[in-house]
Amino acid sequence: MNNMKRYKSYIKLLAGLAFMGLLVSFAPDQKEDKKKKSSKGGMDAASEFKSQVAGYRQACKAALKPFRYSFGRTTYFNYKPYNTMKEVEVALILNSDYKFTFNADGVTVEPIQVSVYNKPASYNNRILIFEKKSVSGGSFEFTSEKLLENMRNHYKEKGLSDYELEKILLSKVYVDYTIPAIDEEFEEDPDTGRRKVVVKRGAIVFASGYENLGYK
Amino acid sequence: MRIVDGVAIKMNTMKNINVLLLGVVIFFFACGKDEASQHQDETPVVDEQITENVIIEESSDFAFAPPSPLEIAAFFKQAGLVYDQTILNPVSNKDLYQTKLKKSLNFGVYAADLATCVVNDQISDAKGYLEATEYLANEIGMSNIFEETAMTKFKENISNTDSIIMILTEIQMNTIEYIELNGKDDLEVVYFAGAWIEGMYLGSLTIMEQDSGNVVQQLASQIEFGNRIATGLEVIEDQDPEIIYIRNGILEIVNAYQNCESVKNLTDEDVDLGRLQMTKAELKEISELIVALRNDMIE
Repeated sequence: MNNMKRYKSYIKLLAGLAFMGLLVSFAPDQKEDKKKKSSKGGMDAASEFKSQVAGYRQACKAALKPFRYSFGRTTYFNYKPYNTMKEVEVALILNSDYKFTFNADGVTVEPIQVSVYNKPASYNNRILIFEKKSVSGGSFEFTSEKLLENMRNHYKEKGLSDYELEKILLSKVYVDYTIPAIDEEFEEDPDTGRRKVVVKRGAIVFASGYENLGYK
Repeated sequence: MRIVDGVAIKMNTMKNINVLLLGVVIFFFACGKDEASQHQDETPVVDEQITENVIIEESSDFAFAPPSPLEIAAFFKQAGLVYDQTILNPVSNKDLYQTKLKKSLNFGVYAADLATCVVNDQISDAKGYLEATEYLANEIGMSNIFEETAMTKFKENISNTDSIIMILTEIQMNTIEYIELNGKDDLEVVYFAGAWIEGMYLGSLTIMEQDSGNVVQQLASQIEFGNRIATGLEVIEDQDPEIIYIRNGILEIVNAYQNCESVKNLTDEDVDLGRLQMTKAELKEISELIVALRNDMIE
């Protein structure tokens, strides 16, 4: 009887220990699964976005035709609870004809505004030479000739002669992307269980092309 | 019985120990698995952070779009720069560059020189510069920008400058795509610094040879670009002395330009209307700074 009791207690002890061991071994598996999903999910979303944007870049470059590719710049941004602005400085060769193409298929959350100036944002008296509001999806383009024309119109209004207007140079332009504020959304961080802001990404692709190399 | 009991007690003790050992083994197995899983957990988390950094370029201090080396070279040719192979960085110098920084800088230099050869129809010289560019691209991990057929296509079209220009345009496009796709901001700024300095150097030589107002305007515009490049170099994590030297050299050129009397008195309208006229002394001072920095860079 005593032996039977002892065996039972050993079996219980053994079962208890095995159960504890299983619990311990199972717990991190759950954690691991959770983290894998989280990181995998994060990577997938980021990689997917990145590969989508690579596709938009191809479309943007293709839209340059018949101009020859000069340069391309993708601007990534995150929507914030306040308005933000990102600026790209574009250098041009004097007296060359350029085409600028934009692909906004990566702008999906809220439309952004694209403005082109002759000076950087730090200048108070810069001239707005192109503006497109509510940019979201799709593509658009314009030429340096259009920008020059707007510069000339600006100075014409100031009373400059036609002779002087012909001398206007456009050696650099500044492309400003204004990203509107959004209401933040929150989600639970699968790793920490804490509340975190849902990242809302966007990207706009820009490419420039020149018509010819001038010397020929 | 006692003895039996004693034995039994000992046996029970043994069993208890075995059971405990089994529990400990299970426990350690579990712990071991936990540790392993922690390692598994850590890697993707780090990956996630890197991916986030690549995707979300919040600190895009280097947000500029310079003209391609081909355009710059064509501009200087049009402005009157006479082709002279001896003013370019010799192809044989490619073996001198041991650090990644030097290789990246001179990758930019050779890209500018290659473009200069092509727009001047010096295709046999261009072949050497294409090989040097490809060599340095491989050295800095950018072999992907050269399609396997690039050199073959180049050789097949050696008498057709337009086709060569297309090949170079393709390489330029692949370079930018590689940089954008891989988030290589550091490499980008160093490459552009090299191409910028070489472009400025060729521009300086043009000014010395030709009294062209248009070149001065273009050069002035390019000099202002130096500020962007200096900012880009400043944010590179690994601030080795050579980066600091190049950055200071660029800033010295920009400051010398901004301190010129002809420039200081300019209004925004003067700049827009191409009214900048620099004196020979001012141009000489800036040109000397450019040439000195460029010559240090290619050594």
